[in-house]
Amino acid sequence: MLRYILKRVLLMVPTLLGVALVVFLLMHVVPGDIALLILGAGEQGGDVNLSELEKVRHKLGLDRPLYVQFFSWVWGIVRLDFGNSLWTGAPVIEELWIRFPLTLEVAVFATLVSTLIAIPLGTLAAIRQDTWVDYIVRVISIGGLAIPNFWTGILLILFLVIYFQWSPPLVFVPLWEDPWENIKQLFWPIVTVGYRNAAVSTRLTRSAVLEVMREDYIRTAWAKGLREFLVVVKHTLKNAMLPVITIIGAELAFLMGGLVVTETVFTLNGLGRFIVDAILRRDIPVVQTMVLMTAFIIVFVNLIVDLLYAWLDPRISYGAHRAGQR
Amino acid sequence: MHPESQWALSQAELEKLPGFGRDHAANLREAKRLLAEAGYPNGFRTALTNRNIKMPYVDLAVYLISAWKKIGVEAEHKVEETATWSQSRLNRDFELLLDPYGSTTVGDPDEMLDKFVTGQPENWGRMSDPVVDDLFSLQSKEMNEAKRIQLVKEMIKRILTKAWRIEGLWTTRLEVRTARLRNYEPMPSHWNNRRFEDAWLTAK
Amino acid sequence: MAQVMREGPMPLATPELTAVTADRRWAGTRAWPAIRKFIATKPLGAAGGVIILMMVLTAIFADVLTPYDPYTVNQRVQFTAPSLSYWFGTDEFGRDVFTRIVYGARVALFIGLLAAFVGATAGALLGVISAYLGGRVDLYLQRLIDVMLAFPLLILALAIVTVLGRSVPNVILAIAIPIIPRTARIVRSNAMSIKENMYVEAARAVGGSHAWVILRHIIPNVMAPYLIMLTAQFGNAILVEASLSFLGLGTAEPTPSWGLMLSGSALSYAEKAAWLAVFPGLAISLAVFGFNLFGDSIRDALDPKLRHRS
Repeated sequence: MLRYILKRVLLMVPTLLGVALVVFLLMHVVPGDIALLILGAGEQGGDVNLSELEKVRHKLGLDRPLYVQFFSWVWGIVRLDFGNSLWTGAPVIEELWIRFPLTLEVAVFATLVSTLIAIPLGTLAAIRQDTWVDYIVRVISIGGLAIPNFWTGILLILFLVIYFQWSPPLVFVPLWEDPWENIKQLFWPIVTVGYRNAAVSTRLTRSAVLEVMREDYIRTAWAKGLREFLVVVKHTLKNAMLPVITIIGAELAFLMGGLVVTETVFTLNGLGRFIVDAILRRDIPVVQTMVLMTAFIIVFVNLIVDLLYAWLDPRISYGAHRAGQR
Repeated sequence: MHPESQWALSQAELEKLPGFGRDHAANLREAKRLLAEAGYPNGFRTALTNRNIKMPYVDLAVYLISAWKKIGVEAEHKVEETATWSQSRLNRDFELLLDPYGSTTVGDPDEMLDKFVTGQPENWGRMSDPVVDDLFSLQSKEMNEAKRIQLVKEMIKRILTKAWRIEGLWTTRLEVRTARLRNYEPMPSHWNNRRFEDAWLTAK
Repeated sequence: MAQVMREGPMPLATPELTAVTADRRWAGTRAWPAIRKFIATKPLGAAGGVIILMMVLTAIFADVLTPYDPYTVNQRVQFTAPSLSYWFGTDEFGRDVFTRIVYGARVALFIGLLAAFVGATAGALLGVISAYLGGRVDLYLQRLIDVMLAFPLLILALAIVTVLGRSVPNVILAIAIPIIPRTARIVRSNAMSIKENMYVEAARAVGGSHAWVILRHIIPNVMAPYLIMLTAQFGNAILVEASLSFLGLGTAEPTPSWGLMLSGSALSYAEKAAWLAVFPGLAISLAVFGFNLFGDSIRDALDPKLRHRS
């Protein structure tokens, strides 16, 4: 088991390196030059002095050969130096740190709330399969999946503005400073991001519980005459949680997409919007760092999920021969 | 030139130029006839390179594309975001470009019409006409106001007749301010942002 | 597919195979009784199928259903509220919203279905090759898949659209790419378990070429997870296309695309013209809803026991 963990951790390195290479190449292949933008060439003042351009590029280190830029960047990461934003000049870490709490809060609360809703709802639908309860839950969750979160955000804002003359505050106040102000701003974004996760998790919980309930050992429990509650909670849920936990890892990528869109609609100063703006400005260090961090989080979370999987299901053991799985 | 300035052609003068007449149906017929004469009786396909901002870029393009369809010109809308667009513009990598200009401080022909002169850096379309160049340098040196206006109008007429540039929208900048704001003067150009050091807010 | 299954020697009963062979009656019977059975046993799926059918018909007969042209600009009627002449009102250019939604079905279907198909098929091929060749090739391909999975979809879409431009083929590419590694994973794990079965070795021993073995034995057995992934991704692809267009990374004006209709105009003008914000979203939701319902039932019909981790 320990060997497996070690192997997976080591495997993270080439994966992350691969991501680093891809994002580096992408940012340098993409047309558009931040030096041009800094000199205001995007606007009507199109008279760009070419020697000025060269100076700016040199200052930003953009005129070095590609492989030099790549290695100096990777070397910087090893020393935990992520460079400075080409646009503001501030260290990338600082820029990220300002926006991090907001995005983290929305992401965590959205996942939490959605899981808290999904597990009871999905279980209920499973144990009352094919009854009207089941149909309602299924329709709601499939419907929830189908509704795009930017549309929900737009409708929410429209509704709040038109009927309550209320618009969300624009300034972010951290949760520990003033919880009420914080919730005022983030409540609706959390709902907008979270309902989709809730829908997915509900469906998955339902199918997972259904599957487990068909197993022999559950039938034995019924036969023994155990009360429904005991059977469901004690025996079924623990095993049904496996795929639900997995989905948290897999849905992470979609969560980030949802964050970007929601932050755009609600005008939140979060990481999602930040990375989109950075890409549009070709702020290379910011984009590279953020992509790498996102990739790291995704890979790391998936590792944790896999380990949890093994811990929860004693039939799976990594290290020895495993049937069919990765 | 800005329609409200002294440099602009009057409505009457404009309507004499090709395409500016009031009879829309007649204009369409004439356009189709000219296309056929040029060897494109069924129109042709082209691409309009544009910047990814709603007003005035994308919105004008929506109108242009729908208008061109009527004479058979199918324009593919190549929307690029700012960084890419400015690069395309710099490298002259376009068939048709939507290019705004005119956010100037004074609106003087030297500033605005500079881009139609051969070899100038903002001459994105690489237009070159010795008559236009002459007119530009003449008006630049001309001290007599009336004569200068005359020269500028000549220049505009020639450019519009050649249709190097199709005129689009003129926008007006609207600034919304609270009544509590005092002693604030907007800058003449929106590139100069705002100056607040002398302004203040009253209590009510 | 079911026919091929019966001809080979009976393999060990793996869940996928049991489900597929159990349904061979369905594949072999005539269409109408089969459809009736489908409607009876899976009413939700049938409802989804109806929605999809309506959407396809709307897309095909768009010219007949709409009196207006989706592109013509008519400033004089901008922002008219829904009325008898403009069922869903008009937008800021005076274009009829109903017409644009109907034509938008074409865009959504074309992009969504094609992207899902390209992504799932490419992914499935990748998975099969990776599983079949095994060894070093498998190792490298797996790392490639890991990188693809770890890369945020949005950044990839942004990069593709920025480099290659905002055209329909590029949007399809941007949507298809994230589907590839997810399909590859599932198909690969299926193909691996099949490969380990005796009869594949037997087929090779008898002298079958690689291609023949892949075609005859592996591909039919991965059809189930492939089809499941494919139908599951249809709805998602339409949603992703809408999101990309909303962010300004997908289709560009003046193409009528539902996501695009919800960006710019909806946000800026929604307070005075709420219909601009409502109808495109409804269209997207309905379409994705239909595809999801249908896809779910297909999955249940093909393989109720498959527990997918993606």
